[in-house]
Amino acid sequence: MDVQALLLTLRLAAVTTLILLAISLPLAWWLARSTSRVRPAVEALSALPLLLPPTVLGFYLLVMLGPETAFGRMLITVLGHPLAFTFSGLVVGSVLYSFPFAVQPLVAGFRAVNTTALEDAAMLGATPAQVFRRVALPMARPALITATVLAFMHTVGEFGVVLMLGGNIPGATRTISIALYDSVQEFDYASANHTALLLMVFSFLALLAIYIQPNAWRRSAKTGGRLV
Amino acid sequence: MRGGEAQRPEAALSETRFQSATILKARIQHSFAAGDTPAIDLNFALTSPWSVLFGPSGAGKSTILRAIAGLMRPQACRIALRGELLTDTAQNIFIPPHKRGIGYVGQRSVLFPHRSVLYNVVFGAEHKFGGRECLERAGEMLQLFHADHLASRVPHELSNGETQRVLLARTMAPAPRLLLLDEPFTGLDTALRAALLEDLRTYLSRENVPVLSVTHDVSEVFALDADVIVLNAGRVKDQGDARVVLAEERETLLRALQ
Repeated sequence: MDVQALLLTLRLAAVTTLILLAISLPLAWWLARSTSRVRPAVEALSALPLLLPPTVLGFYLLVMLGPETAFGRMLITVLGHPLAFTFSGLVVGSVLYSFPFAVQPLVAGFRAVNTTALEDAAMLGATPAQVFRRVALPMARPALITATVLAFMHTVGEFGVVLMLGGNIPGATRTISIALYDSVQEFDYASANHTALLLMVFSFLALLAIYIQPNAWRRSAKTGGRLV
Repeated sequence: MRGGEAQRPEAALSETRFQSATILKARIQHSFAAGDTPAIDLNFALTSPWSVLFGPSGAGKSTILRAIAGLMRPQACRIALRGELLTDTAQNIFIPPHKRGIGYVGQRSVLFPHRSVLYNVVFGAEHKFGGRECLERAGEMLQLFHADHLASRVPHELSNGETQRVLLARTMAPAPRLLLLDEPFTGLDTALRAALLEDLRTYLSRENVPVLSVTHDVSEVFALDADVIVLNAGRVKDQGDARVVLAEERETLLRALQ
């Protein structure tokens, strides 16, 4: 098994997940609470990667980040090199590709938060930021865990975007699913089997973590809450 | 009502203190559908330590409380608490709810389900009191509402009455300047209601906090011994002593009891 590819994939997934959470927490909060007329459009746009074939996304990113567009040329001038076929390029692709997997659970979680609890917190003197951090976020904790796990695992498993945008450069853009594909191409089924099995077990454990959590939450509630 | 009888001398005392000053002035106009005649169109002033908005369901009572709390913005509205403007649509003034210093227990108010009772009350105290002081304040409030034994419990383990006690302790923790209660005693039996009311009155008369509560229950109005604002279809029908403005309802109630 390609350990270098595995480590690279984990690093990619971790960076992607962090960026995704930073973007999708405020966005999901807005989507869940906004009555603005542009909300449906923003929500549809954020869900687009769900339906878009990954190769389509990868293709457009490749073109957009390359020297064919003004944006790509500006990026190349700023960075000194094209973003495509680099680790950073993969991060950009992964963030877009896994975007709905972070946003959608959070929107659902925030929509389920009791509005009255938020109003009560405000009436007790909590600023909107405190209401979000100390009431909404803890109440939506299962959604936060789901979003984190899904964004991470979805990035681990991506293939089309990586192939289009990153190619297959060991140590830079060669991820575990590309390594798996390569093993098969080389008829190295034993290695392919190891990689595939590992990914499958990993995915199962991740889903298990999601489905196990409501009970864990209730258990911690039963032992008596802790102070601050 | 046990509590009302015992507290009367104190209530009378604070009455003289408040009489000179207007506590709250409100002018509210609001229609829920555009172009309609306003569903709510009223004007009132609070001068008593305890005032009650009385009226049938749909009279606009909850909307008025929410407007005073700053949880909703009526189309045309001017609300002043002790001379300080909280909302004035004409001047584009709107103080956000967390800066109003108003305590509010809504009909559907809940304890934060993910944390302990103590945390809930500390949450109320800490935006007003710092560090050690806020823990002390939380403990004091729990004691006052006879809920100190519940401190380490979690909200879903509490009975209705216990929840109501903790809600009140949490609401009073930041020392609000005005207390708004939206049918706070609904679903509690009479004895429990009386006991809670007594605890609440102890605090209110000690700290001089005025109350505006909402009810559609005549017997509750008489138990509170308050200044009554009678609402009907979003308009003020009458305001004054319960025995005067609700004489008719009182008769009906008494006849029903015989």
